[in-house]
Amino acid sequence: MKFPICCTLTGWNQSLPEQGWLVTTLLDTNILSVFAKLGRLELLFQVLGAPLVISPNVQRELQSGLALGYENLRPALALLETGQLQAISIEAAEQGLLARVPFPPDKGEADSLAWCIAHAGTFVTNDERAARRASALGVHVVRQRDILRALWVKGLLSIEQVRALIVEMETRVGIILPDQDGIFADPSD
Amino acid sequence: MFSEVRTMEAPIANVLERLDRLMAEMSAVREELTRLELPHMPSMQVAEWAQKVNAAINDPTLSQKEREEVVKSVPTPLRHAVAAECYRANKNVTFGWVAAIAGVLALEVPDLLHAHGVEPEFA
Repeated sequence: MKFPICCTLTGWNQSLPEQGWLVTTLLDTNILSVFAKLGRLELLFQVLGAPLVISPNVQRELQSGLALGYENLRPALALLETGQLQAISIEAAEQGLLARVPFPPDKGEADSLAWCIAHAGTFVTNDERAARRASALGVHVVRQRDILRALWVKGLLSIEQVRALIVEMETRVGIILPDQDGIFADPSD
Repeated sequence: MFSEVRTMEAPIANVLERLDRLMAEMSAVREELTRLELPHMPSMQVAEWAQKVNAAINDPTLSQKEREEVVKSVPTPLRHAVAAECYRANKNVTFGWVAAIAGVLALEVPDLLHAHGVEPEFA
């Protein structure tokens, strides 16, 4: 499975990294699992560009999920094998930060954020509370609704297709997104 | 004297019988109430544990290890309910915290919250 890589991120959403600024983007477990469940992992790559990485805790959570029978996680782990998704390692510098971030240290949000703080990385999540706390720590955050908005603003999907994707998220994954009007607001506003 | 005792026995037996019926009825009503309220009303025990865990999560003077000890002290049968109650009551509780308290995977957290009548806050 090869996904197109698109790094041009201008003019459509201020929440996403600016063009020309090479950042590493870390995905949390839940955002990966949602797009994996829908069979639409390629959308993450199309919107966020490369490199997309995960932390050791996220990798472990995905592997544990697969071991427990969550077969829909298999494509996400397959991306690790092909190198399209990369796993970072946590070194001494991040270990020190890990002890200070207000999250359970063995969870994906903790080591992802410790790494983002140390390396000015971007954290991608669909957990609103984790997003708020990450922003308070000075971490650049991309939320699931930013991704959905980017899909139509960048012309990767039509507005109708994004609406259908949201409905699919509600019915198949149980995700009710707030502020759906914001996802479809005119980019010039 | 003997006949007096015998005449008292009948009213006492009646009262005891009525008391038994009342207790059985109360027990049935309590069970019905529990069934109705269970998904949304945490028991006193769950609420107390959730309060304890939330206090640890919110306390900036505690180390991660001290917080973890409090989280791990939650009795296993209560962990899911306590995790959901912590999320409902404390805005600092993320999906990761719920997973840690409940002993589940992060990706299982939205379903766990829904099962306990708590709406997950998606971004």
